[in-house]
Amino acid sequence: MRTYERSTAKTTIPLLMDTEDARSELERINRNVATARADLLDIALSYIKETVDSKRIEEDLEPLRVERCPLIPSNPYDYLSLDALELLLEAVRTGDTTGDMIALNLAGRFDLYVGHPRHEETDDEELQGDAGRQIRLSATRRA
Amino acid sequence: MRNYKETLAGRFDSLPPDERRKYNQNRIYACADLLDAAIRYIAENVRPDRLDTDLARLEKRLAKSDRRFQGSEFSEAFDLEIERVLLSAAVSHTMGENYPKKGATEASEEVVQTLQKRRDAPRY
Repeated sequence: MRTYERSTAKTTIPLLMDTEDARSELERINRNVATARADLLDIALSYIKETVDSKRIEEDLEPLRVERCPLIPSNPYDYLSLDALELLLEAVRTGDTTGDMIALNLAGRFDLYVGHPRHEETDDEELQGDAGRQIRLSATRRA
Repeated sequence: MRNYKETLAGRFDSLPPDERRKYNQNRIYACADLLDAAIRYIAENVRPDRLDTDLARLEKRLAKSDRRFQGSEFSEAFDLEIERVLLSAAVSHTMGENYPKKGATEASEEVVQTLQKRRDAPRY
């Protein structure tokens, strides 16, 4: 279990007052949510290792172990979904890493995909930030 | 899959504050995406009767452990809570279409709220 910070809020509903204190409180809440996700992920790794047959994990991993370095990363999320499962199952298989570490790895893969040398951004790039919406990266193929 | 933000990763130490913030935010998204994948994988690969048995076992242990939340065994007891939230999320994915599914967002908020509730519980 990681260290959580004591906060005064009972829920994660954003605070209404836009003050320094309110912002700090919201920051603490968000950090706690992030910490909770990492804790849950660590427990999930252990639980999968304990309950799912290792042969099954190998079988599920096999098709995921392919190089996914797209020439045109029109939607990096297609690759990241597969990467997420691959990294998760590899972590279960080896048992020598943490949820935090694989999260760092997955975040790094996004940068790898969108920053791939063959990827060339154009003016119509649109980057949207909220969950549920799509990132659209226009790219052109180089010879 | 959540929306990651483009960053200048690879040179984290030298990144300006705004880039560091985006990079950290991407890690948080990644943690959630991995957790969603884990919840689905557990739901699809662990036998439902095993999941139910494990969840019932955890709930039974937690029912007996209120005192431990007040003392030096807090971390150990809280780990049980985290596992309970994880398994209940997986179970929600084995239910019918009309049953609400619990994902990474709901599970992590439940953990934080449980922590708050346990810390605020009256001492014995």
